[in-house]
Amino acid sequence: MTTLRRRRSFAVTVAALAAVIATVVAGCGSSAAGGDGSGDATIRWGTKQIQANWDPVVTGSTGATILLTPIYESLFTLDERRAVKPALASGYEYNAAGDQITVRLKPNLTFQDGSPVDADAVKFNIDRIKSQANSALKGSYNNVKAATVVDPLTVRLDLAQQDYQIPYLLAVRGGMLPSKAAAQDPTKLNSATPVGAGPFKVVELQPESKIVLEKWAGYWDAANIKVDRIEINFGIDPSTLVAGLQSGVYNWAQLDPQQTAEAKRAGLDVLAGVDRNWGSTFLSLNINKAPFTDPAVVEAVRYAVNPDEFASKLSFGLGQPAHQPFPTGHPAYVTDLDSEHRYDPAKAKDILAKAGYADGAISFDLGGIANNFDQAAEVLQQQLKAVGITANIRLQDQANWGKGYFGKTIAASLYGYVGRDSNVQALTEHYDTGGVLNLSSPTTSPQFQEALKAVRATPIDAPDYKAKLQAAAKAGYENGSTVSLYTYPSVVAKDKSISDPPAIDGFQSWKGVRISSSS
Amino acid sequence: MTLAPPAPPIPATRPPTTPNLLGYRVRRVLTSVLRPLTIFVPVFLLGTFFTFLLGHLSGRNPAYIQLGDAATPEAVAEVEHQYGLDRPFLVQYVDWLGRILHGDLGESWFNGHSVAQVLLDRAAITLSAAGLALVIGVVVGSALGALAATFHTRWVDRAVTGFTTAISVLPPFIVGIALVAIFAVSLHLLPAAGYIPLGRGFGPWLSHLILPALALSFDTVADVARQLRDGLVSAKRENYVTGALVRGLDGRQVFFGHVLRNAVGPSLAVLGLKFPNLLGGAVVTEAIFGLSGFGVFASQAAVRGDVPSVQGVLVTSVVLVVVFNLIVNVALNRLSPAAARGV
Repeated sequence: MTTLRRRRSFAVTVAALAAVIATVVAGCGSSAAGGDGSGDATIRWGTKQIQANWDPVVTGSTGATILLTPIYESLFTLDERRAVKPALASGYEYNAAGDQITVRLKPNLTFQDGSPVDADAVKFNIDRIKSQANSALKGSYNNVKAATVVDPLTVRLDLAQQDYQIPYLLAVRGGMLPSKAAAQDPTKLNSATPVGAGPFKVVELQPESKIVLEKWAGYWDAANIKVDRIEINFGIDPSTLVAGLQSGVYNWAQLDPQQTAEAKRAGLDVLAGVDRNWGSTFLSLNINKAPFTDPAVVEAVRYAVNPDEFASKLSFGLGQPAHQPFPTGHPAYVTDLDSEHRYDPAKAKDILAKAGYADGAISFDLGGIANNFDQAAEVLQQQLKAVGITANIRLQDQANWGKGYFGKTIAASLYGYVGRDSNVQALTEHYDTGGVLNLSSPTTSPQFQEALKAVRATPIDAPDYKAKLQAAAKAGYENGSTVSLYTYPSVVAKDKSISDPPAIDGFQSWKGVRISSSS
Repeated sequence: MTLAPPAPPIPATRPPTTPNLLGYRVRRVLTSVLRPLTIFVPVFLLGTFFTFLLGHLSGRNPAYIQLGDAATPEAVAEVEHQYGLDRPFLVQYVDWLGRILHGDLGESWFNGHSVAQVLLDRAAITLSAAGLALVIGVVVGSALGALAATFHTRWVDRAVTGFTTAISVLPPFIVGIALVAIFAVSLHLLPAAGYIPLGRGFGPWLSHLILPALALSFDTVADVARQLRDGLVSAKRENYVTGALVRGLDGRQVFFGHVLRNAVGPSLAVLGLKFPNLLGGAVVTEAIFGLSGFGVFASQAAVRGDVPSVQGVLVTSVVLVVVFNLIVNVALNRLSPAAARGV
């Protein structure tokens, strides 16, 4: 009897256990593909990037532009040919002297919090850019002296000098407009409640972890937005993103170059063109610090580096060797620069010998951000060693590295650049006094200043604009202290159910993007 | 005729009366709680002091994190004053200690949010994964340990020992990648990454946590199984077990009432040591499974020099580990009174 009872008890236990396991597996299976089962037209985005600042006035990194453009709309925008097009503003006019620009806003627009998009909001934002302690756009607005409200839909900007580049500045990153009402508490706007007039509004923000955006019906071009929801997951290990895409956890992910082949093998759509988002890696030298106070050393370094090796070893076949900070196809790309400093270690050695340096006599500390430029530093160290220059690698965390780089107190550093919305701004940041990427600042060259003045004085739709822009780019590189290494496209892998977004250099547009029901 | 001296009075061997038994048990519980507390307080004070000292010595500064290329000397000084970093070290420490005793871990230099709130949100993810790993470790480890002890020296014992040895040397990141490849990518049974809160359903919650918990649990399974097997084998050889069986007590009663109770001590002690490992292991596992937990936050905060966040993580870890060990201690003393007497 007892044995029989025990057997029955055992059978009941096993059956109950089997039922529990079946329930769990069924529950798991139902949620395996679709993450949390959110709606069909949802972009589930995975990225290693971690975004802490959500106020475009504070966000220093241009790499963050693609994360901010769904929330904020700019006064102007760029089309696929980089032409300035209306967005919140309907148009602009310059005065005859070119030192005053009047911007007209579209009527009846509001921010996501219901407050009006008007001239007062534009002036408030420009005043904030110029006065807020942690403004990252202060330098970009150096040429804007003041903003004046002409009428509720018209604002005038007074410029410090003739400058026809302002429409570019007001497009995308530099012209993103947060709500004036929300910006009354800039700390809250920046860290908790970003409010703009873009196509998506924030419905959930978990610091450094996740942001959830939903389509906002009040957007001026809402008819062109076909995506209902965007969920961005931050801080995801890049090596796990392809598996996440394959299992359906994500349907959109920013990859590191080394994951590209894996994503293609997995049958995912891969967007990797410099016509979308790109970056460049370069060596910044400080000509106010030894040994680079001697122009011969700078010249020797230019011939000693081999951009081909950087491109082949570090960009996994996606990059291009570079002798300037811009990729081919960029308006500021100069063909002539590519042939000026071809890799020639013998010539580098010869320059150093003629300048009186014995083999191994030159050494310097090479800075950079740890876990970012490690491989580039090692390749560079070997290339310089071949011509008798010793580079001691001194990589640091970003905050400590920033002290030396932005304080212009170090002699050399590796760093990167991910594009700017204004062509001239890209040049000033590399070569001008106060340029963020000009390690030799405040030193600049008269040749660059002259060319810069000429391009600023040229309207962006003038026939000779591009030639003058490239002349400034050439003067800046030749007389500056940046040694370019390679350029590379930013890689996005997506599910095939998502249509291709418009290819616009520097930012992510969701206009016209559809998600088919097969997702 | 001599008379034998009267026998000394035999001490009462009766069990204590109910009130005395209750008082005895209360004293035992209090002793097992208070004794670790005398360790917890100095450990906490020393831990917090060194945590704060390290943050101070690191030379990290919120100005360079927040201002980036706008970090002029004047702006840096302003931010340092705003955070009170221009005050003497001990003043800063006492102020900080006072705030953490009130549950205020300060604000992140990186994102401006309350560190306590961020950690609370993320602790739910990490503790879910670590808790599930612990449950898997205890259940599977105990089952394997009991199985090996029951079939001591037979092939089942050797198979369990071989299996636990093999899984104990597999690092969680290897196990994690293999689990993703099999269950998420090949079989499409479970999601490869992400986390769904328990409030949105048990199935989705479990489906997102089962793989990371499995990856984390292997080491615990192995250790619990090995310790329990050894404990059970030793306890079964004790005279009191033989005596109980000879007196005709039921085998199941002897196992649960005597053998298991005396054999489980080392396994419980191992669990006390495993909990910090589970929290530490979460750094890698969370990265692999895209979980925004405690571990990932700690490593990212350390990399970018977000001192208040790192300090918050360390303080919370000290508290969690000590509290867990306290619970293990109480459980151990309840199961084995000899442990409380240090026998």
